[in-house]
Amino acid sequence: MSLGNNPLIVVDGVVVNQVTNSLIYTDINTALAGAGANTYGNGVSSLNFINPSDIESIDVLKDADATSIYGSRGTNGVILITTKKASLGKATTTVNLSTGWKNPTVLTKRMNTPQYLQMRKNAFAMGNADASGAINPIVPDQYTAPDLTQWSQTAYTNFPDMEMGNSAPNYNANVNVSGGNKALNFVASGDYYKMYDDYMFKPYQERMLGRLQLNHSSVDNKLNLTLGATVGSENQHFTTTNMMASLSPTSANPPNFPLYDSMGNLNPGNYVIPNGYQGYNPLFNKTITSVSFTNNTLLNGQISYTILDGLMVKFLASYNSQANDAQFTYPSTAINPQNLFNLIPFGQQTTHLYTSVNYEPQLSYTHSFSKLNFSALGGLTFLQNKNEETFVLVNNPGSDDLLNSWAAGQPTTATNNNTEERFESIYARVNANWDKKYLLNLTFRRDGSSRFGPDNRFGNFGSAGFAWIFSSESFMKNQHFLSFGKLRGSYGTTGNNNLPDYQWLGLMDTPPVYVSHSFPGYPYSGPLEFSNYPNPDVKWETTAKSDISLELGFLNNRILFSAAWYKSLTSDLLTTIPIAGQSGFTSYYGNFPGQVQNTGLEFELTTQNSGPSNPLKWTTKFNLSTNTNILKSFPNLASSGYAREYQVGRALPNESGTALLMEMPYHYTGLNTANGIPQFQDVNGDGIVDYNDYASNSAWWGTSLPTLWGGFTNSISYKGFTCDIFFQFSNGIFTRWNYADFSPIGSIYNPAADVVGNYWTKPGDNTKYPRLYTMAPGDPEYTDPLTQEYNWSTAALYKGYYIRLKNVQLSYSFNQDVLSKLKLNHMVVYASCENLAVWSPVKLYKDPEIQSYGNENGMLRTITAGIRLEF
Amino acid sequence: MKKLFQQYKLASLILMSILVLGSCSKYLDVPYPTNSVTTATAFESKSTIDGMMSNLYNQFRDNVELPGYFLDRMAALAGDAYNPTLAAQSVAYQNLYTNNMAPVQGAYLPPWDGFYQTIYSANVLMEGIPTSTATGMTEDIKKSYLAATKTIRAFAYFNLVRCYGGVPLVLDGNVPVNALLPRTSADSVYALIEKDLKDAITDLPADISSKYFIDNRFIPEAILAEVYLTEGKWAEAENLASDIINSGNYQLAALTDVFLQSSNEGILIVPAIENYQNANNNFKQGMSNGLIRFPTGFAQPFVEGNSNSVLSQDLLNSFEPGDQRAVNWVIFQNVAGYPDPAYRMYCYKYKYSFIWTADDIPAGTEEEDKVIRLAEIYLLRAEVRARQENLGDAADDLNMIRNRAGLGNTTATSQDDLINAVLNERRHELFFEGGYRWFDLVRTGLANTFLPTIPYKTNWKPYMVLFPLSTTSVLSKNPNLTQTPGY
Repeated sequence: MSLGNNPLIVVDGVVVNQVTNSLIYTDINTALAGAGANTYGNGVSSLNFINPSDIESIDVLKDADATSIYGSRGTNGVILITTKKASLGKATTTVNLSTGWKNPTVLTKRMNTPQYLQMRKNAFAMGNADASGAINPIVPDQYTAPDLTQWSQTAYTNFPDMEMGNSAPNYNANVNVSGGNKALNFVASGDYYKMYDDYMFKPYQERMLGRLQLNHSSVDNKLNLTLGATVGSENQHFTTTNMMASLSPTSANPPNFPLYDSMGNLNPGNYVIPNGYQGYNPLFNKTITSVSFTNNTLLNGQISYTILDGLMVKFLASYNSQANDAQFTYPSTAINPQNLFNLIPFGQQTTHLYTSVNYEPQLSYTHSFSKLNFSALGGLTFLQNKNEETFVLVNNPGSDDLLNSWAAGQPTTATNNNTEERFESIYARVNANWDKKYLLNLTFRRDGSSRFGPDNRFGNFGSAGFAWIFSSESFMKNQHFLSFGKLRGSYGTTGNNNLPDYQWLGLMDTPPVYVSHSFPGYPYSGPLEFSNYPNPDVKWETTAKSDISLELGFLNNRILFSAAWYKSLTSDLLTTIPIAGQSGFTSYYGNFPGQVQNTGLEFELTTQNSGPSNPLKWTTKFNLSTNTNILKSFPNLASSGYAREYQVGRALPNESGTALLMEMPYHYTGLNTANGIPQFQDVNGDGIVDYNDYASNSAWWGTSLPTLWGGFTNSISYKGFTCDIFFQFSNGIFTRWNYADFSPIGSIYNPAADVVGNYWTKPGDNTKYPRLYTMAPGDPEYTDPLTQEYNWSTAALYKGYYIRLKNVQLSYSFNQDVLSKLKLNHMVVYASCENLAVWSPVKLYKDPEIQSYGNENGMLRTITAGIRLEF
Repeated sequence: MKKLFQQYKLASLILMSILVLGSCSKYLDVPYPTNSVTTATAFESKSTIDGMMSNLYNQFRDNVELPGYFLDRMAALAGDAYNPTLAAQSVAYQNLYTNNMAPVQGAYLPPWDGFYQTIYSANVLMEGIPTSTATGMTEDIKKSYLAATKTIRAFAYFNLVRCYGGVPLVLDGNVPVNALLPRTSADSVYALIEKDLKDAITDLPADISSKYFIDNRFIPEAILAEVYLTEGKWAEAENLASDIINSGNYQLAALTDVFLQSSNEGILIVPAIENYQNANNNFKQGMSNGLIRFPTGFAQPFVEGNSNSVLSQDLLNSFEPGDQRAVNWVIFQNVAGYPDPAYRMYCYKYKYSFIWTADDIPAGTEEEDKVIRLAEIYLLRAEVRARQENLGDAADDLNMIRNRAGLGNTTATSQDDLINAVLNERRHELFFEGGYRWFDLVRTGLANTFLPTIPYKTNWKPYMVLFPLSTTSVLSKNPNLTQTPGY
């Protein structure tokens, strides 16, 4: 529920911004929002502008004392990326070429036309639900069942495949040249990348970038200078799959849905009003364009000078500018006459300029007193982020070629948003180490953020960590079994300022034109809306984390084992606080009044299964993690606005409304075999099964977060061959079945093929699925249990585990004979496959990591092959 | 050793200067966003106060004069709207037609949060205007703004108390305290409404200077007359109705012109919105209140969310022969090819046109939302006169409306018959407007006798005269709130 869960990413000491972005819009609202309508901070992650082949190493920091030096921004962990340094001497060139393709790991199998039509006929033959199980057939007509009476009985479109099963190639090429001498050396690289998605209409992203880094060292080694520049551009072409947010996913269209009418024109699909069926013909969206262009410039430099022996002054500075231009056009050819909300062509354009300036002076000192190695570091951080965004919506420009002409159309909405954030920090770190056996780290920092009001801007955080490498002790010298032993522990606090800017300040602004028409004749100009409930008391979120770990190496480190325990307690969590609407607001940004605790264990075992002299190397790595998330305390919970959803000692509910329904669902107790109607437990014991049973606290079912997860990796190498196989597993999740989206089985939607033969047909049947329901006019008595209650019940939920074959990699490195003939230093050919397969004990018909309906795409299987040359 | 000492000296000097630099908190004073105004200085400028007033009017239009989609629901609850196809397909609409309003998502409950957002805006203005020293905020302007603000707040509470009973009384801008207030008694809500409206009547002149602006006393008078009617204060209601009618400001228009911008029948009016559109809603001209209808001949009979308010067969059958309102105000739209017209015919009150492009509106036919109009005031006075046994004058008022509809004078002579005749006339004059029919059924107790006679409303229970509070969006956020009794 915290506002930011992303780890901090630091590339060569420079923090980069992150945005997650999908290429697929499954409804109009996300399409428009994604295209930039009144959302700021949109754009492309700066991480996209890092060339993967430039990366030398990636370190993940999680411990309190390791992350605390990064302060508030490192609360969710820190990923340190170090890029490759220049190789000195003769210039070396590395070329890497790869190509691959993607397809869904799991694509829901739905009924084919004969199976679907049979289900529909059975549904009508069975008629409307009746308490006695009696058969009350309904005659299908053109209004209640065009799929049975109007459409072709043999046509077949595999909608899931049409929507998501498209070939999605990707191409990547990059070149890296480096060389020079110690006084001046360089790394230069160029990268091109293009990736298609598996959705229809071929959405893709394309990226080009170049990087140059120069390093200088003075002869006496006292002065070091690094200058880096990265420029890149990224183009994204999106697919909009559905223009009407309320509709079912395209993939649930009946398999005999006619995409074209008898004249060969696109069929708008406005059938069957009585059933509420508004099947959407996705082909209308083909001419919608949604594109985004981003240019990114990153300049960074650092200079250091050793003033006196051990005393060094350093200055780091970086500048990042990102300019994003997103355009969305809805031409006349995309207009589906059924879609009454979008009958006018329009275009919209968002431009977004993000600039970030960071500078950081540092002073460090290292010294050794006999066996004591001591180092100290002090520094300051100044960070300034500016966002400027403009948005224009143009309606009806008269020509589809002028959809982005503000002059040709009628600019009906024009908005802008300018925000600025500043952050400053002062920090100090002391490391001491005695004889490489006893280690101590202390850090302190004082962070200031403009996101808090003048009285709450600063927070003080610190940490202390120790380590004892007991294998270095003299009493361990005489044995060979334990080759390494380390005990470490730390305690520290970090802060988090992840909330939107200016929330401490009450602001009013004029809403976009389409909601703000002033009354004609009023003496007022623009209306001023309260845009937030100001919270002058909002302050730093604080997490206190303790951890302790043991690392052991056996038999000359052929077996490595580590175990760690952690506990973190987050106070004043920054989040949106719901508030009763009678106050005038429904939520505001503030500090959560309760404390949230996470505790967990992490184990890792790495074994070298082959002997040191064996040319076949085989390494196995196994890791296991647990996490328990609870609401630790909450003063006066019963009288607060959280009383009905929260409970001390229980996990926190997820944020979104639908997730909440999953956490507190109807409890399915099985079918009434006499009439095929699903039955539910009277959870709150008031004698009736109704909405109160899922809104009640006692309906709690668990969270969708895993409680136990881990991985299993085998790496085998023999001469030039290497092979890595990585399995991932997760337990304690729950997710929805994908049997029939939100519609009752038997209505005019195509459910999962699993429904075939598994539904109730006659009294006495005890089937997996309930009776069919046509949704034709008639007896509505059993609509509730068959539709929303069943769909929001535990019958629709799977709780358990899954295993994923996450990654398989093969590579072959050519030997010296071949290389010398080809005049190469290295040549490697490789192939990899991600997300190859997923298993769960019960078939889910979808990717278990996907919680929602509709977008069943899940994790994509990606197969890549490439070659890497160095000369 | 001396060298080491020098190092420390230098290091501490640099560290000291870093500390001095670092404690410079001025760096964190970021400029405010250039596209916003801060609330802290809101009352120091008349143009900011004007902007807040303008926003209050928008909120009034969008929330307080019941939004059109909600008027549709009121009509459905009262039995005047019924769409068999919707009833069959949607649980939410079944709940409406059977008055089985469940306190869950999608149950189409009245806009609780919207009412209170408007009340919050009004409260903030009421707190800030009296002490404002902004240039241009003269005592006259302050009086006029405050009167408008009180009128809007009273109307919001009037709708809240009629929908939900005794609701929390929020009277200031203290958000954290107000968020946890419990319900109060309906009487104390009515006391506040009366006080606000009486203050507004005192402070507003009799001259009408702006068509859509609450700048004259007849608007709060019309609302207060309805409040008195609901409370059973007949004499007070009659006085106010007479003051409005006798002012001579308003005239009954020809039946075909009632809703036109040119007619002089409206007392409280909300304008049509020009260019009410965005990327999702390309409505060139639609009413803000969402009473959106398909123009005749439109290809599609039904899309959920738009044409839910099909007139019920009960209502259609109850028009007297010759009633011109059934001809002029009702659009019969038969769907081509439907086998059973009685079942598949869609009828709307063709009051607020839904026009796709501005060009489709012939000059002089632009409509606007007459929230309270003179015809209702005549019917109101007819009823309270009848209830005070002034039967002759009551019949005169009633006949004004009947005659305009092409009907002869009323035949009712006894007090009871006359009251029933007025209620029946209100049903046919005001159908789909203002929730009148629903609130009439509730305040007169007819709900308990009339509604169960409708076949699909046999589940009617007396507690259903009030709406439940949403468990997910209202009750869940305030532990001190109690659910409406019965739910």
